[in-house]
Amino acid sequence: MQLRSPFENEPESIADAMVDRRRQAALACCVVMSGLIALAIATGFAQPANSGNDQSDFMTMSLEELGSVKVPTVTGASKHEQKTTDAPSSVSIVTQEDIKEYGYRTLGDLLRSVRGFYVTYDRSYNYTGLRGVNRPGDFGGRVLINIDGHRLNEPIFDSAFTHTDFLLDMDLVERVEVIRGPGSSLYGNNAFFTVINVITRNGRSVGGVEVSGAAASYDTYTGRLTYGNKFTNGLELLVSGTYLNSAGQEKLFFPEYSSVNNGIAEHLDGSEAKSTFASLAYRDFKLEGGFIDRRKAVPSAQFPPFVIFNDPHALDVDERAYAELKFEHHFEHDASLQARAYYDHYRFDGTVPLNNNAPAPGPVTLNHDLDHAQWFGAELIGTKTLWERQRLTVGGEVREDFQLDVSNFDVSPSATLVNSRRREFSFAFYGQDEVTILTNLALNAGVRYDHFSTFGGTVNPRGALIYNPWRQSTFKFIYGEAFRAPNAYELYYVQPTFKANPDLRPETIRSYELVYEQGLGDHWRWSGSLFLNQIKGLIGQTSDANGTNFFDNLDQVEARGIETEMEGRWNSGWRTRLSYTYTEARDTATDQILDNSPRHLGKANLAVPLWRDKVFGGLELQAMSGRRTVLGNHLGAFWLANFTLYSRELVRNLEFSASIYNLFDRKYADPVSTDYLEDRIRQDGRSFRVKLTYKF
Amino acid sequence: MVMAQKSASVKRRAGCSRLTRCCWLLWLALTCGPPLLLAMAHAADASLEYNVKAGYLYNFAKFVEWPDRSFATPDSPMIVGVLGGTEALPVVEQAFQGRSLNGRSFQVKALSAGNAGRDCHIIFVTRAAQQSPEELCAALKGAPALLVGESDRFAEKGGSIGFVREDERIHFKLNLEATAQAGLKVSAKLAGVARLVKTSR
Repeated sequence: MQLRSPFENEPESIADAMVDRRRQAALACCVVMSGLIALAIATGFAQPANSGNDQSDFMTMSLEELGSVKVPTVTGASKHEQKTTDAPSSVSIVTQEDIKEYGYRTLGDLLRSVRGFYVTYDRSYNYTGLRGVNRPGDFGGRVLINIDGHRLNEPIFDSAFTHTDFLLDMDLVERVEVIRGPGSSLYGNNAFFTVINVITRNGRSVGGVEVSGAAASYDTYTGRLTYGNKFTNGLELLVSGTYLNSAGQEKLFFPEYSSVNNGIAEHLDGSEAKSTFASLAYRDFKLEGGFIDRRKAVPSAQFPPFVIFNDPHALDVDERAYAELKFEHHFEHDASLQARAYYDHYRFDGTVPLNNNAPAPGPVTLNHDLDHAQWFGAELIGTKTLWERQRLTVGGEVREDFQLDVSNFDVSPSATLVNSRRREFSFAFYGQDEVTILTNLALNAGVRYDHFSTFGGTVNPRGALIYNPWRQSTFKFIYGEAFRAPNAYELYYVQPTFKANPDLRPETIRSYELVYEQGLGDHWRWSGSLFLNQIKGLIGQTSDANGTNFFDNLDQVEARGIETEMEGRWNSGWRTRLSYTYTEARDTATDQILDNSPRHLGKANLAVPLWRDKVFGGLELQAMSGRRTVLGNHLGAFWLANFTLYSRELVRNLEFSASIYNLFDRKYADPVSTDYLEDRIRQDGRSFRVKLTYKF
Repeated sequence: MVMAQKSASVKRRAGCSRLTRCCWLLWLALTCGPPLLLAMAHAADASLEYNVKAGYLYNFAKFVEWPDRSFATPDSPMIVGVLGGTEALPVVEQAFQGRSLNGRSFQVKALSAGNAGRDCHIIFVTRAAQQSPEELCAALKGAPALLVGESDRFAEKGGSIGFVREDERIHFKLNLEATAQAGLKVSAKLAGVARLVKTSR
């Protein structure tokens, strides 16, 4: 039976008819799931049996109960705490409860559930895309990730780590603020598409010792030990260590390498990560820092044609560490001062096994990409409320990247191809004013000037008009500009076939967004967004007349689209979220949709209390439409479901969860960069995780 | 990182199948439809934050003792004044509708710049109010009113109770000097749960 399959087939050999039938069944499941959620929404207005969140309930609550009701706020959008509806951006908040109830293993898992985001994986790193832009080969420099306001992106590759290379164990996360839109007016570099602020738990929330262990598919084991407490003298401490070891997939098939070991990469998906994190707070001071060392075997034979497939030496090591001292004081008459000083370290060691005689047989030459960066800096922020109507924020930052070493060498015979040692200095000034024009109209305007010793200065403004015409509704008209500075890799990776380009400028974006948020009743919130992003000067690799490669500002992209989201919460623990994003991201020169850019993204989340407030079920559904690879091939649309069963206090002080990821074992692949022979990498099928956490 | 550039053979798909397109449209409808329906259906609405604060005000009424002279008769209503803005008043009104405490009903009224609310028992000063806590204290000198506010450091500036936001939850600070000056008696229970602050100049 020749069915017209809605999805393009995978290159692997699976019987067409089987695929069609299963996919039709999958679509039917999708429709049924949507129907169930629609039913939940419709009956939601009659309120689920265990709910209790209507107006009258607050009047019967005790003081303690009132003190535990959550009223969502965000701190990163204007660098101080405010309601998400007052923030000059479209914001999504993911809480610790979400992380437990949906079983997020990494920050990447978490971002996959957030409206508009999609995360691709090439079995080395995660790449985060928002609203249609996630170019294969980029390292994530257009997404700024902060831990408690401390920048995590490093200056060599600009990477924003969201996999097992993320410094923080997900159990230490209090909440994640996803602040969409350009944030350079406050944060400077990398705040291109979004700023993701990860807020850590404080010592008192741990209140003792916590031990956690998890076992998951592919021989994955993780263990964590945390101590946290707030002492009577006011000192608050949190110390934690995590260890992860995973064998990964034993055998991975790469059809492009079928002549070597039948195309099977064996025992090359393993990883190991060791991380620690600590924070110490006393009165106005807070000292915080962490370290991670993550090693990942590389199964995908990066860097053809000389790379040797299925060689056990292929390994990537990423090391990231930082320490920050923060001082924050609130003064008389609504003023506050914040000062921070930080030190950061990043090290990358990538081993690529080469056969320089390929395709003829030859000896193995190990090539290392070794990069080392160290930097320190300080920032000062002052805020003051003037005449009860204006909140002014002024800040300044200086930073010295005193070590930027980019090198590449062969071990034996010993040869150095790249050896670059640099320093870089940058400083910035910024200001933001939040003005209450009328009781329901506010203007948030800010601008930041950044100066880099490499390319000079850049000015990035942002303005948002926030209007509340009627109750529970918010309109936001937002315009913002942002930039991404060329990183050390793009500037200093110079070798005989690769030259420097001193004229390399930062990438820029102009973003227009119209947001409408509407609270519906006591439980629901709807938000919609129309956006237009104009991106110029995207940095890419090209070559001159002599064939020498170099980086240059090459491409221009325009991405436009619409997003809608429905969110419901009940005090009983019921929570649901449904979102849809439509994007058209085109290269303005060719007018073609970009590679790795899906037009449609759909997500649904449902958290249900299954038994009292002790057992919860979390179901996730994510769907993505087709994408094109760098070779012009088409990757079919796919959907997947994740389910987690989470319980707490069934046994005193014990938390237990069991999760199934990719519940229906969907087969799908992500596009990868031209650093590989293959243009796509197959992703994991169904996998499990069981986790236990015990508090002393 | 070699970026996507020239693609010799762009295999263009014949287009999404009807079923797939239907699916995406259904998804869009699901995420768009309900709010359109509800916006038309004039659903009951109330802001979560002010609902929580109204709950607090009711609790404060339970744990504070007003001097006898502040009530004309044993069943005179307790008067709650709301100062500033348009968002809080309807929420507080609806919250206290039909409620009573120790035989007294509640009366919620809007206060304005000219009417400081000397006859109120509880005055809730919203963020949008134009007057500073110091001004209000001066205007209400001696009046037995519990001055509750939500602007920054309200209690430290002389208000009786100031709401604070912490970790996405709402807590409050209690200024016993201010309540003593107003002639109010605060029960140990309220003082035990609150964070106590002093007036700072």
